[in-house]
Amino acid sequence: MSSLTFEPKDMNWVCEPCGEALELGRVELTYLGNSFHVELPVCAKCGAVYIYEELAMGRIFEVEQLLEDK
Amino acid sequence: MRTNELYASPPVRKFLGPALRPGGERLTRLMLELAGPLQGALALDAGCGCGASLALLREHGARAVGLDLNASFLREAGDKGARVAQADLADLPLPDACLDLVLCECVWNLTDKERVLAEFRRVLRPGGTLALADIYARGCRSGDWPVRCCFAQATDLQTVMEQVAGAGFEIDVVEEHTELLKKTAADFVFRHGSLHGFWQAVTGDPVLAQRACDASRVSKPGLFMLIGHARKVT
Amino acid sequence: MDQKELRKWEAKCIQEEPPKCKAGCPLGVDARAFAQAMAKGDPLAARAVLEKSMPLAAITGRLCEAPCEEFCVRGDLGGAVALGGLERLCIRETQPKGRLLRLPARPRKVAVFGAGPSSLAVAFDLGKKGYPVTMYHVGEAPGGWLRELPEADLPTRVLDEELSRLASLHVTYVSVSVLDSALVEAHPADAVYVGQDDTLDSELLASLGSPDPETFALERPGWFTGALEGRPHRFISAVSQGREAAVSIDRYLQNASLTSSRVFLRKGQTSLFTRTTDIAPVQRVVPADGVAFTREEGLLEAARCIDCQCLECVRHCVYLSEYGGYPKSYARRVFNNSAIVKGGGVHQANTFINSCSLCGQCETLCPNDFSMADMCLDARRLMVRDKRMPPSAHWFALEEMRSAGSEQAAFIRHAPGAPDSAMLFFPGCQLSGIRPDQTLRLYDRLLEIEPRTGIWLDCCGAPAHWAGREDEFADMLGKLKEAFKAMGSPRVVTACSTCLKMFREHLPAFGAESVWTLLAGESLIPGEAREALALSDPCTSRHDAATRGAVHALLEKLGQPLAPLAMSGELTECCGFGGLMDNANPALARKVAEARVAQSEACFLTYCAMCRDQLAKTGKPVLHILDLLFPDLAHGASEPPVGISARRVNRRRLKDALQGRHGSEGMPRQPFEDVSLVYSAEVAELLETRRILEDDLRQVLHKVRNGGKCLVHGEDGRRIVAAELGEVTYWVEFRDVKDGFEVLRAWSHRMRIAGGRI
Repeated sequence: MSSLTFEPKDMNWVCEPCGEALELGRVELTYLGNSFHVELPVCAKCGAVYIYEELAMGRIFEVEQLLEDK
Repeated sequence: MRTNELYASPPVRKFLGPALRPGGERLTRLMLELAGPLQGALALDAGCGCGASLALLREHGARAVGLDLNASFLREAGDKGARVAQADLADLPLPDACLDLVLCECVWNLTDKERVLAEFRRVLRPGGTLALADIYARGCRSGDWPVRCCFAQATDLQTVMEQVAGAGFEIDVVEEHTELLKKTAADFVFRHGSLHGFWQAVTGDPVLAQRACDASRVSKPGLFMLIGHARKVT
Repeated sequence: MDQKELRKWEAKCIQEEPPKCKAGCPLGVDARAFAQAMAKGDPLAARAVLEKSMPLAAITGRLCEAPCEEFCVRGDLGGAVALGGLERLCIRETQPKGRLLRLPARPRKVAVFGAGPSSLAVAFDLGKKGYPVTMYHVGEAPGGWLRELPEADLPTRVLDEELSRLASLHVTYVSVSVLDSALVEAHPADAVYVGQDDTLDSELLASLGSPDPETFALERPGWFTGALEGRPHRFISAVSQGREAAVSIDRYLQNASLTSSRVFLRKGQTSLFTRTTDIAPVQRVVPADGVAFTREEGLLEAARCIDCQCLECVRHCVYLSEYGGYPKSYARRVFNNSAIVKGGGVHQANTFINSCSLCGQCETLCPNDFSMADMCLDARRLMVRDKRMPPSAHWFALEEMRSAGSEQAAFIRHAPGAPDSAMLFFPGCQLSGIRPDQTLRLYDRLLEIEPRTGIWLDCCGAPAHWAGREDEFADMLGKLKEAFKAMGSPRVVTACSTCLKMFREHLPAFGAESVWTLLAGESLIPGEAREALALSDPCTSRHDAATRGAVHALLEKLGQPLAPLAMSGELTECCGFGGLMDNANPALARKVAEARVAQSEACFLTYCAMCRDQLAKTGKPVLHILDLLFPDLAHGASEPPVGISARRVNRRRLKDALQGRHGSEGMPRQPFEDVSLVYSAEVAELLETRRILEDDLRQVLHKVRNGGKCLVHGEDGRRIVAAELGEVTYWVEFRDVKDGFEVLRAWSHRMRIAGGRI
């Protein structure tokens, strides 16, 4: 399955102290034994991941609720 | 307003690929493991689609035939060399007591359920195995589904078991595999933004999509797998 | 929950029991559904109800003597619904169903002697099942005495039409000159029915003997009879007896027992309970022509049907009516959710199970004491035990509980300077969290009464209990017990009904008593005159009449008039906090609170901290009894509820204040506590809705101060930082301001990044 790509409207963020701008990279998200392979903004140097608000409160929240069977 | 069956709709086919059901091959393999010795068994895949499970059955040494209503699926299956035919599961073109195994995955809810169970019973030899998997409703109501799909006729598990037992089967195993359904749903949500987005892609209509979401919330679909055998007549 | 338990629960809920009319109908017709359809002006649907249970409805509906009316609950409230008259109206307005479905003929045959209504019923029932039936009748055509009825009662055309429909099954009519024993012997069959509602030869009749009163089987094997002399109703009893005989014949011909697992006629017996206290009597509609209802008259008459249901609990509980079912159907739902099958490790946190406030109102209202609380709590425990309860289900409430019991907030001491305690004041974590000032004053009041009163700040463990976490609850009880013993086991006095209930049920050694009981015994200065208040008893005081009485006594002493509030005392309603409803289902809790406050125009009064704030969320003015007891410290009735962060701070401050009395310093501060925050009112609301505490923000921002990783915006210098705090990852978008941080946005999630890189 192709990975799913999530990009915020504003990608103009720089990782401190690396000094690298964010770019899209492969990330594995896990919850309750399920894992999802997605593409998210990451720091090219240290791999720090940016989970932006819209994603966290949107899809991620819905998936969490679904897996928790709410 | 598109009223395609769910399993034939583009978003679903694209995502689920050749195995038209959540859990894909994994669930089928689990069922076949519990179905008993398959070497040389004469098996029917009721609702065989494109033939994915037929291949698995043959892998286990069974002599497998497939029946489905959908001509284009059958063509695909036939192209792969499977023995298939077009038939209505409520009226099987088979003699009494001729089969060792009936496999029916995520199709039953689309049919005249009790008639189909009766047919399964008829064509299985006494002691023959029924391997059934489908959606069941964990919620308190079945919900009001705007599309024809495996969720719409789903009942609670108690009713499923009563119907199967009432059709002349002894139930050996019932297993719960809702996690497979949820994983599929979760993948869809990631892809389409929300369950609403998924239903919108399927139905092409936001109002129908909302009704489908509501129905899902109310009925709380789960996935069950049942293995039983045709009760010998006393 | 296993099958046996399911049956036990199901049996308690009588909602599916038949209404009296159906129970009293000798054919089991659902007269309630029939009347409801007629009331909606839908005679087709009404006819369908009749066709379901009546043989040859076109005839039966015209002639039925309506014994159901005798049982109708409307009987004492204006007269029974005229079901007989409505049946005739329905039959007049509709056509019979099309062709009868003819099944393949069964091998065994039935001979029916006599062609009166009971015989017709036998032929109909057995014919529909595929049995070949030969009906012997005298005269030109079958029908017996039905042929002699006036046209107005039963038109000949209708009778003949029904007979020809019957003949479309494997039913054959044979005309004979006399129905006698010789005839019967000459025509053997696999089963024989003799209908006594036709002209039978007297010798034949005498030779039959008496049948079994329930199966209508005669002594001679394979022989049955019906339409006995002395039956209650000439027509309908004949039909009913014929039907019962047909059931017996069907069983007999399949070599099955005539009685095992058979449901016999109820004769009016049912345990369905319908409350009629609010139903006004309405007189029966009398047809203008004295004979038959017109369509309009029928609508009016059918509208008098009460639609008997139980639904006592559902009527009063927002939670139960929210899910559109009733306890029996809910029991099945819980069963489906928990037991039966081996799982694939799915987390089945069911909002339904977690939304019950466990308040016990349904049990009190139910004629059979069905308790949703018991059922849901059992289900929660099972889910926790089987590791199927997902982490976030009750997470916030459990964190509150743990924080109230942590070093930051927990505190237990004898009175300053006292060597021991005669009693220990346990205000509870919620009162401490929302009214620390009043809690302190209340403690001082108790010290006036008894100088050797110790203070004990902690949580009683109710959240763990309600969440079904038996192990964690047991641990908490263990710690509480130890602390209690270490203090010399003095009597415990609580300011919260929930704490009181927890202690009485699980730690009886505490000898727990309510502070209101204590204060009711003391003298009080009446407060200033005030308008009447609606007193809402907390749900945990439901079975504690003594404490409720003490509160009333207190209020009387204060000279505080009370406004009437229907669901009070034993019938009180939960505010939405109980059972962790607000945690698991905030939208429902809000509905519950709104329904409660709508029950009175007056300002509300309560003696529970959770009730105060939960009800105040709706915007309704709500007072706590401490506002009346200590007028100088009164909070406004319209004061908004205390936020989640403030509750934590309040508990810490309360502990600090008490510690100060003992001459100790405040507690050592945690390193992040001095992070200074500012944010707008908009952001404040966001934090409250998303349940993000200031302490959470501080911990995350503290990471920045210590040189942790963060993101910086390319243009405007905003920063974003994240940290995993336990199960939850928090993100904060902020700006640096003088001495601290301005919080711009904050969000959280539970999903983890594999490899943990943030």
